[in-house]
Amino acid sequence: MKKSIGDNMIPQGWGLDRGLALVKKAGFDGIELWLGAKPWLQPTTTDQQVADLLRRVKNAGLVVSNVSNTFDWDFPISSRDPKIRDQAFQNLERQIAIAPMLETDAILMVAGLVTAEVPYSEVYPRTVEGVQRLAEQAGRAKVRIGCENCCSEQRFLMSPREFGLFLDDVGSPHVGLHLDVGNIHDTGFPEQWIEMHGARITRVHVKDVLRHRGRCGNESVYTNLFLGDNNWPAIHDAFKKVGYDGWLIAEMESRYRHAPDQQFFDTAAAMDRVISGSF
Amino acid sequence: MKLTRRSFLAVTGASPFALTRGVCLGREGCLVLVSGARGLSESAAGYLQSSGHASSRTPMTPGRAATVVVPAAIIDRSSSRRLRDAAWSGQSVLVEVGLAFVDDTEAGVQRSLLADAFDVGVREVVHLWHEGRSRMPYVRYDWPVAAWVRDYSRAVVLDAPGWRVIAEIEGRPVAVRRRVGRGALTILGSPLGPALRAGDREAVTWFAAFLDGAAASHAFSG
Repeated sequence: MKKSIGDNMIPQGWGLDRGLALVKKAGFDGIELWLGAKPWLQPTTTDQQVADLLRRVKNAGLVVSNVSNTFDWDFPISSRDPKIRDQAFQNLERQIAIAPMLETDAILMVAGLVTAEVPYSEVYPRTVEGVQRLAEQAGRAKVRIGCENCCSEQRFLMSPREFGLFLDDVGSPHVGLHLDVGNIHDTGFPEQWIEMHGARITRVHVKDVLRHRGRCGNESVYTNLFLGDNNWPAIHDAFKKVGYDGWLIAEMESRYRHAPDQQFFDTAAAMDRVISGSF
Repeated sequence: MKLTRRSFLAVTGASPFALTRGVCLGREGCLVLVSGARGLSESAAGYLQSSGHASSRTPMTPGRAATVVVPAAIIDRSSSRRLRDAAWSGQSVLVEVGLAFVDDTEAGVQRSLLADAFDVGVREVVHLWHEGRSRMPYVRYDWPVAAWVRDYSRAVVLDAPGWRVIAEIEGRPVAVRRRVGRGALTILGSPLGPALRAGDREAVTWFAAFLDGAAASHAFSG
């Protein structure tokens, strides 16, 4: 397995090159680029600028593990509003187009968002149809769409079986699960998601979770690796069982208050332990 | 799993395997015999599901089957002898030991039957799941394909000198195999059937490879 970390983790005020140097120095193999998170990758970024971005990533001795986006929460493809849906598809289609330019074969999307106004019964068919539409483009671009399990935040596809049925309904080899092992909270066990989805897993986000806390106010439920309730030996073993040998991508919600660069080193070292299984 | 009274009687009546509860026919070449430790009926359901029971229309005589599977086996002396004879005559016999799921008296009987009929000893029954455990107790098969299967709950650790160990759990042998006459015997100390029923990919792959290998050997041996 290889280690990556999101460019949205690069400390505030740091430029791209300084950030990439930090990622490399901390021991990561790649970087996850978030469309919309930083000035260097926005929907308005031209193809030429994307090529320049890839060059800078390579110059730092890194590769791009995948492309994610920050827009799906505000512009979900499951929205009732056709204008919002159009904007969602525009963002996602650009994301798919950018991925091969950055020499990666995976994108992340948050597929579907259930709210008080837009019920599950509407979100499901709209999301299946929307992802099917995107899958065609992804197939042409030789990119896999990883739908992330943002279980409790999405209020959608809460269990591994439910997620599996969703992927069955989408029915495309170009669509799989971008598994976030920190997002399962107290509704299940990430190792069981790994066992059930196996080869359908496109990429993996890692963070730890404080199950007992839940989401309350501004206090984050997420924490650094090994500080929370995830069973990391079990997660390691489940990856071995299903033969997952792809990217692990750090996605920390909490940030170090001081010495923010230290979080990169600590996270990389913890991920080495997850990968090696030495607990 | 649903068995009609008619099909139950028709098949058990025709079978030389006088097992506890009956016999079901799987896909061509695989015969799943339902014996059954109480509480492990889902093991039989798993094998039946994975051997295409639902699509079977034609009754098959046990002697023609390439593979004979006994899920969660609780067997008697006569059955154990017939299973061994089936292997001698060229069939691939898979016995999933069920003694971890019965009372101590029955378990003792099953231990001695395993020893007498198959020359396989039981070292211990281990309870692999407990609170605070951090590692998954996976059964790690290395034959006929490599596969990790989550253990159901209790595993029978086998003591079988001269047999090939085909699966271990935390370094302890829980599945063994050996050639017997023109056929082969495979003994599983950890139930695979529940994993098959749950659709565990590695378990399904393992069992498919097992059936394919048995079918190929059977065809070769004539």
